[in-house]
Amino acid sequence: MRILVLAHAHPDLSVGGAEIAAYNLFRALGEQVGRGAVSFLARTDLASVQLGAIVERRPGEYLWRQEMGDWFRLRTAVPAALTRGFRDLLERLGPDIVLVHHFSHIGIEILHEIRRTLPDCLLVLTIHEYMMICNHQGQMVKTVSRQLCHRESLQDCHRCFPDHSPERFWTRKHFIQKHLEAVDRFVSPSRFLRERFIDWGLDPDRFEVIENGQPLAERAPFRRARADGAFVQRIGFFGQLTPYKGIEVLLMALGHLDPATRGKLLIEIHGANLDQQPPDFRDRVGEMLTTLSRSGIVRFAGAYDRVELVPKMSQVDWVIVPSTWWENSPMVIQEAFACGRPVICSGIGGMAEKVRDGVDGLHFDVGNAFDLAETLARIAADPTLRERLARNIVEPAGYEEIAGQYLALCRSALETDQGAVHGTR
Amino acid sequence: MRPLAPHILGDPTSRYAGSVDETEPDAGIGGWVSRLDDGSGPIRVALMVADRVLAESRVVASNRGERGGSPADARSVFRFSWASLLPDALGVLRAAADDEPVSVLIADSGEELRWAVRRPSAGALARLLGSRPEGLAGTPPRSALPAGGRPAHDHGTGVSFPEIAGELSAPSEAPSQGGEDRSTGREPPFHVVAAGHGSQPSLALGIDRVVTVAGAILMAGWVIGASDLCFSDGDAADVPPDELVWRPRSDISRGFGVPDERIHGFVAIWKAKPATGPVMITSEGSPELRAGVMLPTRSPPDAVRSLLLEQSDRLAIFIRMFGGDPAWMAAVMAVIGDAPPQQQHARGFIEQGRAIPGLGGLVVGWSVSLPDWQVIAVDEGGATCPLSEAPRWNRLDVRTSLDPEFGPLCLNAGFAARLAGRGAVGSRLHLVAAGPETAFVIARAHWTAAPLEPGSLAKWVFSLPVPSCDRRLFIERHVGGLLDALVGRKAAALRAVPAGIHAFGGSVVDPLCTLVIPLFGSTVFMPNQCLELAADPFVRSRVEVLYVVDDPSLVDEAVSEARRQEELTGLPLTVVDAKVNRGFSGANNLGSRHARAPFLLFLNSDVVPLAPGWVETMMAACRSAPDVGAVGARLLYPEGGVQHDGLAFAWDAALGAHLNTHPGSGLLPKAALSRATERVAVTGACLLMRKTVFDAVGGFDEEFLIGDFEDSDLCLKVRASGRRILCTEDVDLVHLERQSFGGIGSPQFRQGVVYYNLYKHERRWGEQIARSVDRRPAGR
Repeated sequence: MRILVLAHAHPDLSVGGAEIAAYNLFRALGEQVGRGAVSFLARTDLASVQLGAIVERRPGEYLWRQEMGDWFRLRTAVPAALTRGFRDLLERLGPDIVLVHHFSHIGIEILHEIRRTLPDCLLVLTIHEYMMICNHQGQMVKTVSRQLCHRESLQDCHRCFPDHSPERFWTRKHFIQKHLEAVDRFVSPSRFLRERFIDWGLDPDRFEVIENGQPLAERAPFRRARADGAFVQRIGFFGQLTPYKGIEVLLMALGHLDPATRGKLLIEIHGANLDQQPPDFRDRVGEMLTTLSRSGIVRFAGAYDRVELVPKMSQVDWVIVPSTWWENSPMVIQEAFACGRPVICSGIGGMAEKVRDGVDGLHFDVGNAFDLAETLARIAADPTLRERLARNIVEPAGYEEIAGQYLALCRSALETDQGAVHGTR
Repeated sequence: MRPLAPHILGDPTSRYAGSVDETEPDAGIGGWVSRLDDGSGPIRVALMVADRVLAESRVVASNRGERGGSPADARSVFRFSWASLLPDALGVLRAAADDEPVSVLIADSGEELRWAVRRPSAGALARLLGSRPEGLAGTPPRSALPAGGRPAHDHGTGVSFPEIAGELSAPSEAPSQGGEDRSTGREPPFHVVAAGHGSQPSLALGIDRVVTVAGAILMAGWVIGASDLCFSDGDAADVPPDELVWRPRSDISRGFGVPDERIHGFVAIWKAKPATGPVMITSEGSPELRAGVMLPTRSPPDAVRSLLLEQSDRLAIFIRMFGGDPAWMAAVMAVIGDAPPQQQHARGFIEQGRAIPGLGGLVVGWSVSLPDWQVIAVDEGGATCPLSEAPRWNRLDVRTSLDPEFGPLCLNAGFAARLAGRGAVGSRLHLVAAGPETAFVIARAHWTAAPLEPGSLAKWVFSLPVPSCDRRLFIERHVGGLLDALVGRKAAALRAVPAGIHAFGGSVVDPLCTLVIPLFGSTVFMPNQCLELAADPFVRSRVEVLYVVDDPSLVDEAVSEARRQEELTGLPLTVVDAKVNRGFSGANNLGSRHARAPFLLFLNSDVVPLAPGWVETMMAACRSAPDVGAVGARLLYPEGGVQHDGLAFAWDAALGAHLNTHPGSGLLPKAALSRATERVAVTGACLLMRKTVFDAVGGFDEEFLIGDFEDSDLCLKVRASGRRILCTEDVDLVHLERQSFGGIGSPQFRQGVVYYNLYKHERRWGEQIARSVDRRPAGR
């Protein structure tokens, strides 16, 4: 059985959750079915690779220089590269199974091309976000009001993007769904995302939930209270400092804390790229960070390397994920659980699904700084809560296990889909 | 000899002195004479050529005593105007050699003194005589009055008097005494004296002119001593004029020294020539008065001009009678004057006058007039439009400024009026106000060039604020003709433009059907359409797909999209580059000319099939019976409702036309019948026909503007050929309707285009639709 795993980036060059999951799946599958039988193709923007060309980075690992030409309908900029280099590779590798983890920066036409070149292969698409449903960078958040969006419709999408007529949104959905007809099985790391896509029109019978997987980590013990009895709980924020990650909600909540709570908490911000954010957001967050750092409740730790994550996470008592969009299965939650840390999160979407309120973490009302302030007060008032919740954490599945789930899905699909019928509905 | 003798020309021994001061070839001869021994008496002078008298005049000294009373200083000023010469003089001049000089002769004492002067040629003189405003038979030349002259004549009328024509002109010398043969008539000008002395008649009839314009006859003359006139033809049948206008003729009364009240001028007008021979004029009250007048078959423009000039205070009569005739109006416009400065009868202004050479043009402006006055737009060529027949709209600015003068009459001052005719750019354009009698020009402008491209012309004309109640009038009477002609010209020119062909992916061998898909404004739907077409095995193997790029700015985009789609999907595609924008019909017809298959399927670029098999379904319907002429398809909106399930016609009483309607549009589709069923018409957004039938009925009509109604027009042509129209329901097609037309022009413009096409469609098909379809109100 030959397998090709395809992703929109290579972890050598990019550290997003989806590419890490895809790459680790590739590695783990290699362990299980034989290294030579599994290949990995990742899109790259390396200037050293000619546009459209596919190069071999190391045995079984390929880089493909591709670009998106049309983010509205997710169309490729280099169609010729699909029908030449990509088709050649597909024919040369001849996979029985193609696991596509993302086609952004490549073009949705690869699905059609895979089906055209390999009519009998099993094509599995793992969906990591809502880009196919929502033109707003897949956030499913309204463009102007930043309100959460519950479902796509031609009229609602047109209201978010007045320059695009409802009919254009029809062409977007039609074009994307027409390409999804080439796909045999859909996978999502969260039930929440699966439901959203079933609402949008995908076939529930061909849609499964498989997590991204985590490296197996040693669960670090909690820090002890200091000898003088003073006990300050540390809450860690890990992630990009973008508007949708909710850093503003977190900092504002700190402003609402009562003095008693204030002395019992320290918020560590491990985040990068604030300087790349929109100016008004950057200035607001920068100002709040400065003020709160001066008062001693916030410590801005800045960017971190992936290898530092486990040690840094082991130093905090809680991990907070205050995102103001739905999320799918945030890697930071999986990582926190792998380290045995309870998670405070917005009570929506993939976060609410992955973190059980009052069991292995705490929910607060999304975007609500007052509610978050109350949640923080509750934590400060109850120093034993962290340990009680930590005990309920279920260790996330490792890559081996995830690869096993993918293989099981593929085997069952290959059995049931004899003389495969492709279709979205 | 007197030392102070004036400069004497001629014989120095003569008792006379004199000088010719002016010899204007276009005007005449003027000068003075003086009797050296006696400055007080009148002097007879004559204008001569080759011993023949052209005119005579008696002049008296007018500046007696000016230089201390010396008789020698008493000068008698004379002036002979060429225009005042008798027509008999023309014969004299014609008989004389061209270089024969004209001389002034002092005849009182029998002595002749001659001064040779330049004179106009006989031809020039003839033109001058033909157009003179005065100087009619028996009329004293007004210009003979010396400046500041005072009455010194024994008749007490003027400084000089004319010798009547009879005394100068041998052929007409003997005044008629009646009893003329009915078959004979004389050519004006002439006059007959029935009673009284020749220079002071008591019963006389004069005919100054008879002219013909555009078949009508105008006769101007005067009568002394009679108060009625009868006109009859050669068979003694009465031929009363259509209009007989009486008017004073002080010129005649002055010339003859007859009291004003005994003289009546008249103008008799026949709209058509009243008799083949001469017209006899008699008077019931004075049977001895009788004259026959020859009617001309042609009149030189100058003669008409002269007549109208004489009647320049009565021009409204001619406008009323002949206003619709360009020849008449051109003649009137040549003599009409400007409005008197203080007149308060009518006001107006021409804001735009844009013409298309050979077709006429459209005048836009405002006018206000008293109820018994009308305002007419007229151009130099005589094309007219009474503004009472033009669409009018309210002009707040005019209303505000003219309300003190015209009150509520200044409502709806705005107008737009079509003038037919030549529409010569640069030529004059007027607004004429015509009252009960007089008429004058109240506004002047010139034709400027209108756009020659029909769409651009439509943009202009449909930007005018024509009220909806006048819309049909405006389109059918004022702008429709211009647009029709331009649309027709353009369509003919475009058909001659060759197309470019770009084929991708080879060609389908022996195709059964050709999809003709016009592209305009956007290629945005191509990827979706191609994706579905490529997924249809029948289309891939047996259908030729032609994209007709009807938008030259889109060719690159369309060609690269076609290349891309062929590359990604393997669907062979052909792009037909129309090179110019030909409109919906032109693009589809162009596609049909490049189609290789026996069936044509016209498909809008925004119609996307959602399942394969639809082309076969439609073809099967078309083949189901020999009398099937065309097959349409049920189309759905992207949200799922019916967009099209056959067209119907509904009578709209407000518009006075049948509208295309989409029955069931917007409702959820009923269960689809598997068999195609008959419709009155179907949309051209998805329409299948045999190529032979399409060609036989002439294809899509290219004379609609931009795009509308071509499909129902085509269906009605198919029906008129005895064939039926079917519609298939069991197909799955989405129509992202009107996406390709949204960008063209303002809503007002688009609406104007729709009405233009609507009325064209109605003229063509209204009766047939009314016979076959209920006149139901527009279904809404």
